[in-house]
Amino acid sequence: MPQTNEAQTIAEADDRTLVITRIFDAPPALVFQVWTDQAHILNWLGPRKYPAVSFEHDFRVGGAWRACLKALDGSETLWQGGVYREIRAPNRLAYSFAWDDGPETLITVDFLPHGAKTRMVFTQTPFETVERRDGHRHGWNSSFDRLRDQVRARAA
Amino acid sequence: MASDPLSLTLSALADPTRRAILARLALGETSVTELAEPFRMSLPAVSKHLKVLERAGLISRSREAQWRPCRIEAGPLADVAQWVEAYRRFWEASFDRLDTYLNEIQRQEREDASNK
Repeated sequence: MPQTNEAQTIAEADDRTLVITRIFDAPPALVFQVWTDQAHILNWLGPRKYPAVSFEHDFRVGGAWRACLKALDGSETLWQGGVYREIRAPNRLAYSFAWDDGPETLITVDFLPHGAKTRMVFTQTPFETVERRDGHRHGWNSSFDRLRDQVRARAA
Repeated sequence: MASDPLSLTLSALADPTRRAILARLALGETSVTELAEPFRMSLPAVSKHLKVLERAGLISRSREAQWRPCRIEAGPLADVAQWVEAYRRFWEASFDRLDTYLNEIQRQEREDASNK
C-alpha cells in the first residue's frame, strides 16, 4: 500500500520540524524588539523554572549570540548559542541554535501583522545544511516530487 | 562534532538526497541499483549515502539475499520526534512568558503616557 506508506513518510518529515504559531497582542515592531533586545530577552527566554540569566549577542548577520539558563534552585546551568543568519526588522529573524554539545538547528521566526496584533510563526529544524540544489535531481516520479516539496517546505 | 546517536541521526538527515532515499525506502525494501536510478548518481555515490544512513541506524541491509536489500528503520526517527517534542515544551514555556511580558510592558507604557 504505497499510499499509506507515503503518508507516513510525510508525517515523519513533519515530526522532524518544529512549527509553533502564536498570536501576540502587540504590533510586530514591538515583538521584534522584545525578541532582539538583550534587556528584553532576559524577561522571557526560558521556562519559568529555567529562566535565562545572561544573554550576549553581536546583533548583525554573521554575529554570534549566547544565552545561559539557570534552574531556579540553582542546581543546573544550561548554555545555548548560535549565529544570526537573517535580520529583517520587524518581520523576520533567522539564526542557528544549539545547546552546548548538542546538534545545530536553524530557527526562523516570522512576525506577521495580524490586525493590531502579531502572528508569529516559529520554525526550528535540524536541517541546517539544507541546500536548494535543483540542478542534478531529475527523474523522480511524481509522488517523489511531492514528497520532496513537503520536506523542502518544512526545511526551508 | 558531537557523535551521540541523536547527532548522528540528525547529520545523516541533513542531506536532501539521504532524505529522498529514506522516502523511497518507506515504500518498501529496495536494492541499491534501484535506489540509484532516480538520482542520476553512481552506485558508489549512493553506497556512500547508504553507509551514513546505516551508521545512524536509519536503515539496515539484509545479508541474506545476494542483492542486499535496504530497509528503513524507524527507531532513530522516533528519537528525533521526541527531541523535537522537548524543544516544543521549551519554546511554548518561553512564549507563555513572552505573552505575559508583552502585556506588561504595554500596560506600563500606557500608564506612563497617561501620567505625563
